[in-house]
Amino acid sequence: MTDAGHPRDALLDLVYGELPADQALGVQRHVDGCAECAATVAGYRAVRSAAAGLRVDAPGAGLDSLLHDAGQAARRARRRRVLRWAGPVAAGAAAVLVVAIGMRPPAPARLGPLADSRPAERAGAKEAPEAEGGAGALLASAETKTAPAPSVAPAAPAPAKTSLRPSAKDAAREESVRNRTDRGPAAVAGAARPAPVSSELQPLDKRAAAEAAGRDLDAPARQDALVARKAAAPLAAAQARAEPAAASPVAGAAPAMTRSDDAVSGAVLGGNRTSPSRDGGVVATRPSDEARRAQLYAQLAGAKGAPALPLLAELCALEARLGHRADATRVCGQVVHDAPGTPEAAAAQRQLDLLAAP
Amino acid sequence: MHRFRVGDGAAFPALVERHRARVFAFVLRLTQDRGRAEDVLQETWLRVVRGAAGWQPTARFTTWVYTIARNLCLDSLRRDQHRAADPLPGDPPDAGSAWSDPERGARAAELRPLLESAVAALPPEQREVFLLREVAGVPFKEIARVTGAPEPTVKSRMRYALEALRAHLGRAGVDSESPGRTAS
Repeated sequence: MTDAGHPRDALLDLVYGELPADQALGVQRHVDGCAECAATVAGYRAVRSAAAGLRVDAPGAGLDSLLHDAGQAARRARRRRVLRWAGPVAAGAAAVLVVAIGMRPPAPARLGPLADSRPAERAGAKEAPEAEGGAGALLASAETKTAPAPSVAPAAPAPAKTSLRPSAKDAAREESVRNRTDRGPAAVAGAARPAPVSSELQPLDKRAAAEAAGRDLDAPARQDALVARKAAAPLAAAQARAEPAAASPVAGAAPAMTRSDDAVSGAVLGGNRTSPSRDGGVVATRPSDEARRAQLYAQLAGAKGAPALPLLAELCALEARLGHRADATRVCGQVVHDAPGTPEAAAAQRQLDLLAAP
Repeated sequence: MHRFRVGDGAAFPALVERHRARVFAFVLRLTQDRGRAEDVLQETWLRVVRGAAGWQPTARFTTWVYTIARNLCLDSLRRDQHRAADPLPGDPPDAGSAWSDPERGARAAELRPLLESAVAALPPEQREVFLLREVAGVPFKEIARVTGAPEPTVKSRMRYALEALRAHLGRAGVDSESPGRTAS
């Protein structure tokens, strides 16, 4: 506030050191050239000087009982802290369990004899829809009620055939997709379209003719897939089953659906967004924020010391994004407290500032 | 405070050590009654202990603790409105000062009785702003939060308080240039 050219509020700020240095310099210059403001400032400083005697020592009475109460409160806070982490950890563990159960492929589809898949192969033109339906059903089973279940049952023989299709070519295509994924979702969508050289993309009538002639077009691919399956985790096998369906002519128009483990677990927990994975994974459908949140809590339960910081920092941003104000404040506050001076702490402080903003 | 909130019991004594005397100086001048001020002080810190779990790091601790102390003072004053407040003794037995500049501290000690009566004579809203800024060291922006008044209003009250105190000191012959000396 200024009064007839005298910065009255600024004089107050100047005397109490609440002005930024550059502004303080300007106000001080004014004071040096203005007798009225100089007298005001001198008066304020005189009062400040005299006010030094207003300080008193606090009485000692009651301090012991206060510190005793504080000690008990601190113990309670520690217990609460443990319990607070236990909930999300249990939820995370449950989510992992659900994913593990949900993603275990039906036994006949994965391990059934090759002969089981033959009828589906001989189904000719119906093969692709069935394959798509099979993979779709599999994904739907993973998505647990987030979408209507396809008409084809997950345990039908058709998926068994498609599950055996992924081959070295598929791996190469996946690699290509992975590379393109890094450039953005649009490139990924393009990559998901079938490559004309892929054997499984031969015209179906040609395949039917070959099969009628007794040739097993899928034998090499099956071998590759078996090798790959031995090396891969069960979730990766499910991913491999899903991939050919997405690449089939019928599914060509659909978005690529290859999934990472996280993505699948995210789908199980209700996440449906598709975006490139940060770690260079194939077209990864990222887990929903809620699923990622559960994962972070689960990971934090196992993290000790420094490795927890990136997890906490991510959780801080995530909780803020989800609008979990109290949790965001708690987690971001912990980041600021645990790692002062780090970029993570700076980012967490920014989140806290945003949370504090009205 | 954050350390205490998450269960570090050793953090609390440090917190008390840092803030308790200032909080007491604030409530003592606000209530103008030593007994009442001691009760308010104890209750303030008990509330800090009990409320630690709900404290958010987004709020400054000083803002929080002085808000508690101020509200308790006002409640206490309202409860005992019928009873005339005892004036502060001119020179209480615990009149120790932690002022770091010995010369300035000595001057301040000389002026203390004069200033005590001048502060006691301030209107309550000016007195609390003056005490929060001068004794408790709370910045104007935080005082606005503690008192619920807009910052310009806080500054306006502070200016009035300072001018009244300056006038009081001036009437007692203390000049502005050297507040330890009386004007000739």
